[in-house]
Amino acid sequence: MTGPLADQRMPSTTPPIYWTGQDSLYAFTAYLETEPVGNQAAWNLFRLTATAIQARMAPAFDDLMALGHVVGFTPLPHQVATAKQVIQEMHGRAILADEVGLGKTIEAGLIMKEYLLRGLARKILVLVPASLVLQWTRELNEKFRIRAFAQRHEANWAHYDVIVASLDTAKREPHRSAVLGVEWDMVVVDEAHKLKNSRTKNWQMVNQIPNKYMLLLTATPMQNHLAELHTLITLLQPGRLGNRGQFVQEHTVTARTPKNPAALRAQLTEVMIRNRRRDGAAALPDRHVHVVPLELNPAERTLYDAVQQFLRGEYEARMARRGSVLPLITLQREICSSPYAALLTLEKMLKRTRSDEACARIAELMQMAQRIEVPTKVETVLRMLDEIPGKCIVFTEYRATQDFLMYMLRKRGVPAVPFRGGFRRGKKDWMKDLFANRARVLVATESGGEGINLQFCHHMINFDLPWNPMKLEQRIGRIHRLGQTEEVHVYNLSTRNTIEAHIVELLQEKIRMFEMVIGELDYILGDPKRLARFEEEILNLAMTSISEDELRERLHQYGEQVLRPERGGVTK
Amino acid sequence: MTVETPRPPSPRTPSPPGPAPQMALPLRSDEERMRFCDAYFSSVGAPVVYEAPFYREYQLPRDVDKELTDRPYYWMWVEKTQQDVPPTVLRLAFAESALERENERLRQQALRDAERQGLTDLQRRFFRPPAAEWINLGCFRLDKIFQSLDRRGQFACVAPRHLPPDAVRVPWLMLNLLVSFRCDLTQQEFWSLGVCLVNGQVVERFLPALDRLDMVPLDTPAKACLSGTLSLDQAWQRASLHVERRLSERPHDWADAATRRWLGEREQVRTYYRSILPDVPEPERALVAQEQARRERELEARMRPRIDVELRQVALVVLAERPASAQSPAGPSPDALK
Repeated sequence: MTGPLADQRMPSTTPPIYWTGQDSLYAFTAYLETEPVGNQAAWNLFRLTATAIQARMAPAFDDLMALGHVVGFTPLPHQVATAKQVIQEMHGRAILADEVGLGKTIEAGLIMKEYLLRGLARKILVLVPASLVLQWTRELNEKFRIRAFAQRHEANWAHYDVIVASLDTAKREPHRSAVLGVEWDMVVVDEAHKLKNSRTKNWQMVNQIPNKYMLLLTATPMQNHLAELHTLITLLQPGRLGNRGQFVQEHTVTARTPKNPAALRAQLTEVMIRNRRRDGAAALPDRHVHVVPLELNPAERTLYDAVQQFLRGEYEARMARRGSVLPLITLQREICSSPYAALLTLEKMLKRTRSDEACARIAELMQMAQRIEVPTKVETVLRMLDEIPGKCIVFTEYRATQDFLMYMLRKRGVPAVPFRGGFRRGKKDWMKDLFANRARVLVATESGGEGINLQFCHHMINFDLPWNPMKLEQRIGRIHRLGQTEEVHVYNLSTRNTIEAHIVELLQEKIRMFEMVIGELDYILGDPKRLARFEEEILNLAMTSISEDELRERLHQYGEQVLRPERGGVTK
Repeated sequence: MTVETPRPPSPRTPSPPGPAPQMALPLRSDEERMRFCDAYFSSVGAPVVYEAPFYREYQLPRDVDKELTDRPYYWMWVEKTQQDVPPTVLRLAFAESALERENERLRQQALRDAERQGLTDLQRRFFRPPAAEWINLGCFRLDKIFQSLDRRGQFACVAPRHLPPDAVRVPWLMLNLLVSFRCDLTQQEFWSLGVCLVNGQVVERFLPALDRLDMVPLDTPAKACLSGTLSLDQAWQRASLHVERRLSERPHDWADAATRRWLGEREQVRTYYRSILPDVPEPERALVAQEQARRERELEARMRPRIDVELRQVALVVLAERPASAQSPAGPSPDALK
């Protein structure tokens, strides 16, 4: 046999045929009663309708209709490839595990749109963190023209077809029963690493939601245990990796080491897609990182040394009685930012301290701090702003520093707006607009950095550094992300002969986040517990090293150690 | 992974020898959408009140207005209070360049009109000119037009303008079907069948064959030519038998692959639940069994292949019977249509 049928192994069976729309035939009989000879307009409309029906058809299994329906932006190649792969090879159930900033939302939107257009999904439930509900709703409406609604009321679940809500709401009664009572065609869960433990309410809730297609979005599909992957995959395809016991036995040596990485990876590629920058996904313009060294003036130096001495004493004392070192970490970081930032913590310590001697020392430190009028750092930043062309973001960790910077900028006549995590969404958008249109400088605190995109800005000054590569990456990610068309300049202030200088070095060189290793650090530092340990370890090194050289050496070793985790094989 | 991507069933439409031409989907260009909208608005009696390249302003009659603008409460208010409201004018741009151009024009014009009446500073600052809409695939308005058409263009009853007076008139029932091949994905085909109500013959691609003909309303009521013919029900039976035969004639590799996938995954689910059951405490077993049943149900709903055939449009078409010898392209001969 030749021709197109030649390679058929056996005659295929015709799948069951379902007929619908026969009612039209009876309606047509009635139509002939009312329009016995027909009319011209009806015929024209009839032909237009035939065209309209064909215009909405899915012509082939293997193309992406959604691409013809997005207007105003062009999905990137890796996003289109991901959507296709999920639909055609994973059959609509997958973990989207792209690195932060590569557009998981876009991928999910494309996939949702495709199923909507093909008539395969009507009821879609999107579960996201509460703070992102409105953003998701807006993006689905604007980018994909999916009529999505933010859930507000218990009646919404059944009423709206596409609904965006927070998992925390959905798992609470009376919502829970309402959600479980709907036959959802598709369920999308953002920040799905919240489902890594099958004993939690979150996991059990999602496991019970009826669904046909399911997408789990997370940049960190695994943080501590390989078994977390198993937990996620069980939501998608129970049994794909066996039950938990089988999985642990077959695939893991220790919690974080796979037995046979290649085999596990092969299994994972059938249910999980992870795009990474280093693989060429979404090439961005270069980022240049500059260290701006500065020297403390004598008064600041005295203060810094005194605080350092105080910290060492306290650290020893607290370690001896196993007290919390958290306030010390805070103070150590604050003193690197500005005297104002440190004042608040010193004041709190003063209130809690009972020994007179310590009280006297703290009071003395506070007086020293108050004597400093304009810190060298602030002067440096003001000078830098004179030279930097265009708009600039100044990041600091502390409200007090932010307030002081705002005050100094106003005094200088530099138009600036503040930005904080505590602002409500509307105010955030407003501040962003002000920055885009009126102001030249945005003074942001750490928490203010999340969830807002400022690609129109190309310069960033890190007034102080978070002791956390992830947070630093998030800061930079505000401007160095999809949509940035120009090269980005990041300036890290580094005060000589302070711990800050070492932190800058550690973050910048040893952890090499600027070469995008961060993709892998997702796994290591995405977890708050590990993060706390990271900060504590740095303080420990700072407090117990006798000399600067020793501190540098030990931080160097620590950096190497962080970079050499028992990698889960899956990240390769 | 070895991918079992479902292949489109081939050939695309039944019959024609050689590879079937992959038909380009309609309404993919600006030009086409504009012609489509022009035809729609003229058919529903909405006049063009302003025209520029790739731009039209249509004035809507009230019934069309209700179908195309999503504001039920407005209409409730208008009708309850018996208001006389001015008709809506839709400003549609069919290309992005036209959108920018016309928006600028609308702004200038509105600003001039407003200035003539005098504007306070505050009014000027918050002045919002009317704006045009960009018509593209998937936009709100085009979707509304499609919905309106689904209601208005479902039925028709026509004959060619120039029927020879002595010709024997043969009624045909046109049935337009949307055929969906469906597993976890779909592929759709538009089938236009003509069933001859005299002899029950079924012809494919009926609507395209009528394209060349200038069709007009009948000159005598349809009833007159329907006496002594097949009933509509009988015609429907013929058509559905034809569809089923056509579908069974072609290969369905896509469905075989889908079935294999479906059964494979179902086995996986069953194995999984069998393996965890021993560790489940007795009182929870019923729940776990329920969960498994639900999973299997969902799996079937998503993956099991099926073919949906939906009747979308029905029309009565009266054609002249052609003598076997005649070869003029005046009407669809059953042979030509095959």
